[in-house]
Amino acid sequence: MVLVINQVITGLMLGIMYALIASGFSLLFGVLNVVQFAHADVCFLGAFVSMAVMTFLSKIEFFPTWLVIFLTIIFAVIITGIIGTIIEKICVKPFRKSPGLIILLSTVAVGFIIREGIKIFYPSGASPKFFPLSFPQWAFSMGGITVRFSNIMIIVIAGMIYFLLSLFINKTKIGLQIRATSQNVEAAQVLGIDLDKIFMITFFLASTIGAVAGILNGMYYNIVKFDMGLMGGIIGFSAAVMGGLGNIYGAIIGGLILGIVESFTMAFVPGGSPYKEIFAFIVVVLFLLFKPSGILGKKVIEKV
Amino acid sequence: MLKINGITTRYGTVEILRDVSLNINEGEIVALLGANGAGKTTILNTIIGLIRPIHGNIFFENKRIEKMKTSEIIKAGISMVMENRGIFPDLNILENLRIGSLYEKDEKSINKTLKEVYDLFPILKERENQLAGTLSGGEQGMLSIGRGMMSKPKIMLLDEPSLGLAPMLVDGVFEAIKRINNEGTTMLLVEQNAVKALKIASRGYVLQKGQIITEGTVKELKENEVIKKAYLTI
Amino acid sequence: MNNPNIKSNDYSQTLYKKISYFLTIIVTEVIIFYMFINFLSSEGIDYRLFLFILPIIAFFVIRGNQKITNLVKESYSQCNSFSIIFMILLLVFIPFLFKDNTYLLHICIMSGLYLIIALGLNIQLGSTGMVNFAFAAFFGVGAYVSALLTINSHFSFWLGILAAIIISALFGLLIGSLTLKSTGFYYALVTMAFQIIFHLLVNNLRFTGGSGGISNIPFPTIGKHSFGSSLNIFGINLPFQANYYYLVLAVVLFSLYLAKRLYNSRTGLVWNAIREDEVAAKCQGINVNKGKLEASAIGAIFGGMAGSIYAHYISFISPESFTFHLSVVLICIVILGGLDNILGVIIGAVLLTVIPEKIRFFAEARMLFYGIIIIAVLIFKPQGLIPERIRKYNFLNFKKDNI
Repeated sequence: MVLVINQVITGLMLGIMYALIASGFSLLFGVLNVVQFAHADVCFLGAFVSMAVMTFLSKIEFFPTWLVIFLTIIFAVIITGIIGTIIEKICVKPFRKSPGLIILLSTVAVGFIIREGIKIFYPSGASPKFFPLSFPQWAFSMGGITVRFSNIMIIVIAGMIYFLLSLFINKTKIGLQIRATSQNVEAAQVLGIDLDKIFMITFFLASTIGAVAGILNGMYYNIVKFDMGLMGGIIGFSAAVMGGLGNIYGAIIGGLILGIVESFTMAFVPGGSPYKEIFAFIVVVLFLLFKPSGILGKKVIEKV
Repeated sequence: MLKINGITTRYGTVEILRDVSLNINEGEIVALLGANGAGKTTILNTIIGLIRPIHGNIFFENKRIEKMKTSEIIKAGISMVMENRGIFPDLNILENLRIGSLYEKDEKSINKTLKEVYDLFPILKERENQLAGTLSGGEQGMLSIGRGMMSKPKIMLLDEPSLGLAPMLVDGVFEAIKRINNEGTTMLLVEQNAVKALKIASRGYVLQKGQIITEGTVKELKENEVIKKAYLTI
Repeated sequence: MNNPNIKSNDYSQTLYKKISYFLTIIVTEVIIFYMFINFLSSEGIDYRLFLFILPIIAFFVIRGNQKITNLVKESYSQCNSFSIIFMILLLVFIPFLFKDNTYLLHICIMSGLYLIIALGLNIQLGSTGMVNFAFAAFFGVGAYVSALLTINSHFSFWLGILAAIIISALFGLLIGSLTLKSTGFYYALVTMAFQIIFHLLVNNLRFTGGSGGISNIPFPTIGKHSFGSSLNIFGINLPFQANYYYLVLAVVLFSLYLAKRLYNSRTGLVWNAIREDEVAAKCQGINVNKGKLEASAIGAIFGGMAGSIYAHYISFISPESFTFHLSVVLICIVILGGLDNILGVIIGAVLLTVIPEKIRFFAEARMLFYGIIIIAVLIFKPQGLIPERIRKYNFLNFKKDNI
């Protein structure tokens, strides 16, 4: 029983990472009808950017450590956000009027460019890297169940992200425009909403949240590798699809479910570790068979 | 006030509008009639900036607008009420209306306009916090028109406001349009329902296959045999 | 009024025309062949590369001349079968040209194999609009099925390839059936999952040899002749690769024929209809589900065929040859060639197989280049290098087609 609860905590952590990545997918699809397949790569790129920024800032002697860390996170998040908007300009904007699968292909391509770019241009990019930031190691045990400081911080930070996101989308003027665009693009245009601006802002938003997800991932597992975005992207996308593509609550649920499924597979299925993704996929396919539009999906009505 | 000169638009290789010219004077209600697919919505979309014409130009109060961004055109004083209402289903009425006044910075001014809209359509005030998607067709129609008013336009473009509405509601819509016009807003009214449109308009144009085939005062149109047979026997 | 003089004039006119067509075809195809040989055998930037580029420049110069372009177009449309037969003749010649350079022969064989798979992907992606990331897995299924069946047993390659075809068709159907109700994104997702699952399984199961793969896959045999030994034709000793070259050439020709027939048939039209607008297709009474399943199965078969041949050619297979990366490269080939354009797919397959071999540093940044190529093609020339010809309703075709 104790083992199960500890695994639930582990699964929850992994699940929150997946949820954050999946939320980016759902945000971009829900608002802009775009499948940004390289989103997970952008998330992990955020981790690499933060490492690069940190290395650079640490060289400035009179900066105290806390300032370095603080600035690193801010700069990394903003830079990654900007990279997201650049991706939009190159791989999405030219295809706004084309079928969505073209954007899927172009973003799959961009994913490769990001991953291989890191592999080639980051010093010894091909090997896994130790992530320099991490949480304090405090932990609290009771009756065999261990709860770490990092567990709580991740839940708190993720919660804060979703709270701020919700605030932004529901209470600001731009948020109103974003919501309007997601509901009726044509009407939004007729009322003068600048689609270019909305695309740019949404991509910036999704990429900054992604960068935080990447950094948190690095802080929790202490390791990053250039190709984490490939698997992470496929699972993240699956989680978003399972929850209902376009629905952020669905993405959260989907991510949590897959995180727990993978952790439980690793812990309880003998020799199951290398196959954990297969179990995750089976769960996704089963859900889709019974509810093709996802758990909380936006319903698509075909009048045929 | 609004001069449209020789507009030609294309969709791919097909010409939708061919050398279309219209004139709308201040304070008028001008009807634009024609069958489905004639290009009426295209004209409105071109005026509001969604479509760029290949030839021709559009002057609004001596400003050339055919190449301007929609946001600029709205700021200049034109607003459009879309075909099929074009409301945002998961936003409530208030939010829908507020989007109409995106470019108005002054809160007091927005509230004043809001009050005018509510005076015209009291039921919108009642259901202020209701999601627009749950409204009936008629209520959505009112919302759409009200939203068009929010940018304090000098001229409103209306695309088939009676579409899909029960006959009783249609009268209410046209009455509202007449009242807004009386307050000083010029109207360009696109309609398939020619009879109702000509009741409140002063002049009209008839569009067929992308070209203007007839124009004139309501009296002239009503006496035109061809028009009568084609459009006024409904 | 039958004036015999006029008749014989007509006859000699036609004869003269026919001869000029034949000559045009022979000249153009020999030039193209020559270009291909030089492109293939050039080492870095040398005179052969120059010989390859020269005709390309000449092409652009001559393009302006109406008379010549008309002549070329007419020749190919009037004497279609001759042009194909002659090209095949030239291709048969290749192992003789490269009998001392087995590396180049190897590249030709690999191009052929990737072309076969790409034709299958073209059926799904190009014709039907189904984005499929699992073609490397179909390739792998064919390879592993054929290998496992023939290793340590009496079963021959010929049974192996048959089994490969059947099993890959089944997997194709499986994937297709899982997503009949959902939209294109879900199909793409399921194929990605299948690709990853396939790779995970063959990499970890002992039964498939794990990461070490399967070795000592037997050579195909015809009668007493094993494909592993050199081939003797007209007294000339060709290296053993020649066996595989001719096998692949035969299968490529068969695949091209199959693909062309499907494209020109009602099935091909149904696939295009599904790609353009599924709902409209249903309204026309088209059985969309049947069409999708057909595309799923037939496309997969191409992959399985190529996989089986690959396994018995290299005689060693490992999971590393069947990755998600390869699937993306295949998609790159089809996009580069222009979706639903068979000639384009041929060019795409040859280019994207040969170029990485030519440019060494390309190998390091392979996937980076493939990514850039995909985006560049999508932005600048979404119809691919050779734009898809709008379907020609050649009435002669309607009489002959019976698929």
